Order: sequence, then structure tokens, then C-alpha cells
Amino acid sequence: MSAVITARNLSKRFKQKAALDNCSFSVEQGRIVGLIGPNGAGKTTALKAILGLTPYEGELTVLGHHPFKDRSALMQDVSFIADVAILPRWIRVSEAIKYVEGVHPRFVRAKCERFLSATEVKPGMRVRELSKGMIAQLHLALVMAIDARLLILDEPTLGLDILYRRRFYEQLLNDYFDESRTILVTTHQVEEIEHILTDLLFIKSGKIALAASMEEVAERYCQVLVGNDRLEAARELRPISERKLLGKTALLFDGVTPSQAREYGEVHQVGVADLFVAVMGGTA
Amino acid sequence: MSARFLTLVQREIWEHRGGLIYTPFIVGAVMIGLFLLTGGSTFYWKSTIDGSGNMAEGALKMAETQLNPAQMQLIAQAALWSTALVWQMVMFIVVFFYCLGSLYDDRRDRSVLFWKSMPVSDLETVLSKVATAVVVAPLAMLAGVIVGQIVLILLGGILVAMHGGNPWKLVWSHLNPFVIWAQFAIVQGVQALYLLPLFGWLMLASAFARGRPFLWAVLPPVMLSIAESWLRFTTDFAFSKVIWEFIVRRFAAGFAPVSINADFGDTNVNAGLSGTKYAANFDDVLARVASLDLWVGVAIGIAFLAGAIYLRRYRDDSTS
Repeated sequence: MSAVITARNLSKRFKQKAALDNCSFSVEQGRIVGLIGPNGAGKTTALKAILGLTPYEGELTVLGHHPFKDRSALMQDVSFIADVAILPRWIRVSEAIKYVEGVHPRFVRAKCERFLSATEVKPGMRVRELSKGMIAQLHLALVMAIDARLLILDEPTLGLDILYRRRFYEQLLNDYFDESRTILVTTHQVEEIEHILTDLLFIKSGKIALAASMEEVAERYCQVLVGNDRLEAARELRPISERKLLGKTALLFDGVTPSQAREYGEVHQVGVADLFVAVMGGTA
Repeated sequence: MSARFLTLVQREIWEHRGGLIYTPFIVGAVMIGLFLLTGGSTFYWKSTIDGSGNMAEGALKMAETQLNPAQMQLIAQAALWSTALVWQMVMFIVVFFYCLGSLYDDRRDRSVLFWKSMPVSDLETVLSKVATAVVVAPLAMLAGVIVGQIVLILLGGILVAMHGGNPWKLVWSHLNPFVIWAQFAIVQGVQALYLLPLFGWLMLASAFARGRPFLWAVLPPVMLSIAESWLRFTTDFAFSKVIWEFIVRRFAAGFAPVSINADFGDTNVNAGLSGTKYAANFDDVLARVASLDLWVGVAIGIAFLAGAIYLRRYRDDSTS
């Protein structure tokens, strides 16, 4: 597996605050990586650095390019969808297609039209006449028709209703993703995408708090529902978070084997949301 | 020019179809409307001499008997050039605001993120906008002028005929619109170079502003003059004078690149009418190409555009 993104000591400082503080991480080809962090943690700054939209300090290589220096070359291999607001509101659907076809060597018009034919989006419509869900469908159709190697999604389903949200990721998985491609996604709706993620990158105050594959997470972390009688004993194993649940206490352990944990109660897989809360400092 | 670049220019036309493409034809329609109004009113012009005959008919008879062909041609061509200047003024304002919004509007509505997600460099983006301002807009204007003037010429002849005049003898035989259009096109070429520092400055302000690009375009030269008056680093505003003269010359040229010679007194006309006399300073406009002023301006314009390209790349507006 080759690294699609490699960051070493990536930093970005705004006047007083460091948005990214010596981040080092890498993203391998064929993975779907969730970049997860609270508001203002540096997610968008990291994505912007990767997309070549902002200068930065440290080393960053994306598909062999220096993103800020070679943004236009890099964008032949990288696609980007942010929340629905970024498609220009004045443009017609047919114009958007013609534009991407005109500037992007890897865009296949027939593919895009095929994706759109399954939607309500018609060529003569202007973006401002479309619903948020339809704008997201248009942007997704444009992007899926580009044979890119890295797709960056920044809160792509923000403001969409659940039907569109679900269809968005389903379509992405079924019609687009394969092992030659890589997806890096940020979202607040972690529960909705945790089943499609292969890797997690937690970011907290500009630093990487956790970088692990989902397999590693399953091996390393477990959650145990402990009754009050065993609570003190279980606490000896140093849980990283505790939370009351139906008269019992859910303890989250790092590095405790399931067989060890089973002695104290019912063992569960850790959800990404629970893990996130635990790793970020446990203020639920 | 590559198909890619044409796509970028096409994009500008899609976004600004109303301002850049329709405006010249709307100007034409308005001028035709005004012509019909005044043309219609001529039927009610009573002669001031005895209150019975029509004044317009009287004027036509006078023209027929008292003006020589050279004088008539001068009047006809000068009138045609004058109408072209109406298009010029309106489109100057349109292009002025086009440049001011060119690198700002998409940052304001965040669609810049979409444009920047395409494999298009900031250099190409800025150049496509410059090409739109100095090539596409003038071409659209030329098309509007040609269509509009053909209609005006036809209507002018018809009006003369309705007043009992001979349209061929009084109007059409004296007009050579092709000369006007050729001169107008050549003037646009000179304008593209001459106005480059102005358009470049507007685009620089557009790329720089986080809000109100108009203020950012206007304030710096004003502040410079104020600073000069306070600090007195020159005598008699020498510095401001140079800058403001430079700016005023650009605006004057932007609104009216040629001045029209309506002087058809005997001496002027009979002393050999050149084909360009009605556009009084057409030769001066051509001579500008050889002037230092124009090329210094081009150099300044390129510097401003380089700044705009740099800012387009480094400006990172949205918060983390």
C-alpha cells in the first residue's frame, strides 16, 4: 500500500492560535478515513492544506505533489465536495457539466449524465432553483464522473435530510469507491458513516489525538457494562471514560483484552462516537 | 488559444451574460427607442417663420441646397461616431464593475472552493477574466454597435423620406458605417492596452478585499494624496498630480476615447476632408500606441495583475 497523503510536522498558525500544531499522519490508498474533531479543532485547516488552498509549515505530500505549489496539477487527481453552499448559484446544470468537461481531463460526461438521469436534476435548471439535496446530487455526480484518486469530503451532507444523506454515502460506496481510490471525510454525523470508515483520525486542538484503523480500534478498545458491585474492581483497570447507563456503568478501556474485561460484565464494541467523546476529554 | 482557456472565458460569459453580452443590445434598443420618439416628434415641429410648414422639412431643404457633399458626409459620419460613444460609455461602466467583482464575488459566496477544486491555476483564472474584460466585452459591444447602427441608419433614411426628402441623396450615400466600425474596433484594441492599469488595479482590489472592493479600489489613491498633504514629502502635490493625471486620463479615455468633430465650417471642410476628420483625434488615439504613457501603464497593469494572481492564491478567507 502506498501513502496518498503524508504529513510531517504540519503546522498552520493564525495570529495567536495554532490551527494545526505539528501534525504527523499518513493516509494509505484504498482507505476511507474519517477526520473527526470538535469545531475549531483544525479539520478544515487540514483539508485546506491538503487541497493546496492555504500555505502551511512542515512537510505535506499529496499524491507526490506539494499541494500549495502544484494545486492545479494536484486537482487532476483530487476531487473535493464541501457542504452544498459551494456550487455557484447562478450556474446552470448543463453549464456546470460543460465547464468541468472543458477543464478536467479526467471527466467523463456520459457518466455524469447517467448519475443525474436517476435524479430530478435537469440540465436547464440553475443551481439556485435546486433543493439542497439536489445540489448535493449534482456535485456528487460531477465528482463521481471524474476519475480521481483522492476524494475529500468536508461535511458533504450538512443540512441534508436523512434520505439524501443515506443515499449520498450509498452511491459513493457502490458507484465510486474501489481500492484504487481514497476518501477523506469530515462530518459531525459520525454514527452515519462509521460503518463505511476504514480508518479514524481524531484531531484535537490542532493535534492528532488518535490515528488508527477500525481493526486496530476494535482490538485496542472495548466497552464493558459493569454492575455497581464490580465497579471498584473494574476501575483498577483504568478506564478512559465512564458513563452511567441503565443503572450500570459503561467503562471504556484502552488495551484491555476482551477476555480480561469479560470478568466484569458485558463487553461491547466501541462506537466511534463514544470513543471520540472519551479520547477528546470525556465531556459528554 | 486552448479549448481549456475558452472554457474559462465561456464561464465568465455564462456568469455575466446580462452585463457583458446583453447590455450592448439593450443600449441599441434604447437608442432606437429614443430615435423613434424624437423622429416622431419632428412631425409636430412647426416652422417658426410662418407657423404653417414643418420645420424638419424646411431643414432638410436647406441642407439639400446649402451643404456640399463633403459637409453632409462629415455630419453623417460624426453623428454615427457619436452614437458609438454611447455604447462605449455604458460598457466602460459595465466592465469597470465586472473587474471589481471578478475576484471577489466568488469568495463572498464561497463558490471559490468549487472553482479551486478544478485543475485550473490562478494564473489561468485571472487571465481569463482579463481576456473577458478587454476582448469579449469589446467584441460584444462592437456587435451591438453594428446591429444598432444598421437599424438607426435605416430608420434615419425612412424618416427623411417621410419628410419628403431623398434618403439616398441626403443620408445613405454619405454614410460609410464600415469605416466607423473599423475605427471603433481599432480604438478598442488601443483601449485594451491603455486601460490595462485601471482594470488591473480593479482586479487587484477585487482579489484583496474581504469586503467592499469598491472602497479598496478608491481609497488608496485618495489616502496617498492625503498623506502627501500631511507629510509634505513633495512640494505642490507633485506626486499626487502625476497619479491623478494618470487616473483621469484613463477615465477620460474609458468614457470617450475619441472626441467628435462637429465643426463643419467652410474652411475646415473645403480644405480637403480626410476620412477621419469627424473623429477629431482618431490619429491621436493611434499615436498613443507609440507613447510612453501607454506602455508605462501596461507595465503597471501587468504588475497589478501579478499582484492579483498572488493574492488569489494566498488569500484564505474562510475560518478554520
